[in-house]
Amino acid sequence: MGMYVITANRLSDGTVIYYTGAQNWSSWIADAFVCDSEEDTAALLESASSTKTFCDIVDPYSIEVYREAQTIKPVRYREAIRARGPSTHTSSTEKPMPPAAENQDATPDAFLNGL
Amino acid sequence: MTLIKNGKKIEDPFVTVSAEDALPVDSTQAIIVDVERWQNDKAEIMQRAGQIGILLEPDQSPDLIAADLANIDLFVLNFPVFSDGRGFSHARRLRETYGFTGEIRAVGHIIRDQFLFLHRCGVNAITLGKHLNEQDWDAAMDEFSLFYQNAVDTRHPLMRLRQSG
Amino acid sequence: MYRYDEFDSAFVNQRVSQFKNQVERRLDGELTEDEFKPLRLMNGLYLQLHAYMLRVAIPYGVLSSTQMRQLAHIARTYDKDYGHFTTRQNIQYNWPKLKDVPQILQDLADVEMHAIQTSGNCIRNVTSDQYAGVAADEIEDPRVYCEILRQWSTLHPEFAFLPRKFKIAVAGGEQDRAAVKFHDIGIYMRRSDDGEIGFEILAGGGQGRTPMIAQTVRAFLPRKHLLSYVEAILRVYNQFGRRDNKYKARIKILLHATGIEEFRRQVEAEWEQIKDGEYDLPEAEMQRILAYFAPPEYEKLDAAGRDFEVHKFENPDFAQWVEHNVAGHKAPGYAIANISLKPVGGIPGDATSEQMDSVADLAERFSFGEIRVTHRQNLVLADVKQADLLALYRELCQHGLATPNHGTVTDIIACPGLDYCSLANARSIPVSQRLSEKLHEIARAADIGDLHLNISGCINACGHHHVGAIGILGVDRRGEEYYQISLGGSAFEDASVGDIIGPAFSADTVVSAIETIVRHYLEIRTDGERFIETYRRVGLTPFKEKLYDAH
Repeated sequence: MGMYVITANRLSDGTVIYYTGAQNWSSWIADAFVCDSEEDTAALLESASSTKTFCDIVDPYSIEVYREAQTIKPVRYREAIRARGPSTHTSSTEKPMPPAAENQDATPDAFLNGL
Repeated sequence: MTLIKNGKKIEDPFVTVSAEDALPVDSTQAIIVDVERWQNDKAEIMQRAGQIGILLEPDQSPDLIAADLANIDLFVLNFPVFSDGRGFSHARRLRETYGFTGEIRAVGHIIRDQFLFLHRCGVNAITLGKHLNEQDWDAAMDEFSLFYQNAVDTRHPLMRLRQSG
Repeated sequence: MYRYDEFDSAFVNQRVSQFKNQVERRLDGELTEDEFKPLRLMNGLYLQLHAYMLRVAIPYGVLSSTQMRQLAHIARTYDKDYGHFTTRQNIQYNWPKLKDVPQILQDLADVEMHAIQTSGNCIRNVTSDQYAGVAADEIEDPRVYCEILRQWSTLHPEFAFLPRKFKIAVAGGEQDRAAVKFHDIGIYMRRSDDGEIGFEILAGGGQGRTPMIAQTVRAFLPRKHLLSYVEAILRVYNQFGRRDNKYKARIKILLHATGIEEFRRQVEAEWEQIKDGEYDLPEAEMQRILAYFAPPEYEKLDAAGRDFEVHKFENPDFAQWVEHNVAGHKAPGYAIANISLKPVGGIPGDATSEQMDSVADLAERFSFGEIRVTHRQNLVLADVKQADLLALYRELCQHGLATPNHGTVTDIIACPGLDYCSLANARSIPVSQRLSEKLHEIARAADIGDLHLNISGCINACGHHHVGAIGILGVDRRGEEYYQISLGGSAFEDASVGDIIGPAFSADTVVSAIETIVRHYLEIRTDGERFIETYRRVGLTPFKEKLYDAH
């Protein structure tokens, strides 16, 4: 039984966003509303797609996630990179961590995953 | 059906005769038929008093009709999806290779940002739909006043404008 | 270089107004994403993994110092203080906001630049030799014809919705530094037996899923027919190129299916109908554009100054930089300086705003205020006095731009890969960064020489992996990043497509696999033999045995 969240990009600046339920979105996957069945996910995607500010959101879709140490992580590495920002070795492109999420992905090395 | 033809809104005098339908009894009625119908029933269609239009799909070159061009009043170029640009070449071939002076109409999935390109390739009529209106056509014609290449329209390419001073 | 006249300026400003209106309609909700997408793509604006990406056209890779400063300004003001130079001789910004893009396009228009046709199924930015105008072997400056093609292709009404994207490259002579044979249309300048200047026209080259080397459609075409002939090829392609499968939609597939003889017949038949008349290049217009590319006022200098030799002798780092990064110039006493954007462990092709400003200043001081971008993601100052090279080198050192690795194994081409690109299957940049560090270490002990290493993060091959002497292709294998290695590719006049060596390597093992290949080359090469030459002599097997025995 997989777990899923809904993600999209924000129209005005392209930022990666996650659906938190109740017609709201957040830039942090930790805030995302997690579904644990495909049927619920389809309903959630529909609710997310009908957000009143829909024209502010581009192409919402669902992704599979898992829980690890109190945080949510995407299953696919493509989505891990979307959630975390580029993994290249420079400081200017790293997504700043929100104060509440400091321990969600403590070291960039862990994220680099061998690269 | 409402059209914009040569920049003006008009009611379409043509009816489209699909493959199964009989030709309209009123022989003065202007009709549009597809290439197969034309090739099968050419003799009968040419007996009619009304104007004749041919529908070309993207994979049907005007070359198929080249021998009959003098009998044709209208070519309808279908764009099943806006990203299929074969119709642009067909329009130019009709105008430039065959010197066709009748109506060339674009139908199907067309976006307003293609209007000027269509016009420059020799299309002089489009059907209006939910998202397409007369103002858009006018606005599209004015979006650019200068062009780098020669085409069917009378606007001269920059390389010649420059040389004529 | 070419300068806009009143017509060109009016045109790009009209284009900016048009896009501003389209962005407003989108932000107001009047346009849906489906409707807006093709419009933004026609202005080079993609939506990538993390943000929008704006691809700005640098026609045939040539920039003035003023333009380079504006590119720095855009990076600083609207982006994260850097830009990425690409294998299409363009620049990409990775973080612009949609609402800022109309203003960015206005800033570009102010310095005679735009982002038109840097995406979409249309004729893309025409590319050329970065040594155009200064190479000794060229017949005529190819940029003249690139500019003519740029103008002709800009908002071409018939060819905005082709089956697939369409790339054209022009090179000035025998030597090919523009990967001409891997373009949809490739053009070499040629001189006929009776001395007339014209072109050899090739078609059907490309990389991507099915790499193919372009074939000659016409061995000699007089200059004045350039546009009618290219238009004839495009018209055949627009009508008959496949539209049912985007992986089979490029002209190379059409040409392969039709056969060169029949394809040539179709093109020539089309051309017969349109040649002469409106399409002929007016001699005066050709001369007008030619004048923009007239050589700068070179001073009369001696070939090699004694001081230059002394400087090299006294400063081995400088000598090493000269050896790798400086190329011969047609005017005595002048040199071509390659500026590497491949610092060891850095991101290939990236430059900070500060670096862009510095290069702009240095170009003004040392090279008539002109900069070229290469398809290997480096920069070139094409007209530096040999006597100024040391001063230039010292300045470049200050800005981290003096890496002496042009054309060597650490001069890696890499596409943005999965760190940015929504099409990618695997990351390219972190692999290139680790490879660069490892290969630098090896190169310190042994001179590896010319070796082109190219990395793509997916089969679209933006990182030119097919034509790398060593090529790496990132693939997704059951949810993990894997890297397929090929050997023996070349983008030069001896064009070849690399051979896949065997099963792909994981992200953990790919660096040591490349190390094994390079070390084996060092063992078996003969004196002065480049990697590609060794490979062509011994073939795939020895490398393969070494690689799969070791891993």
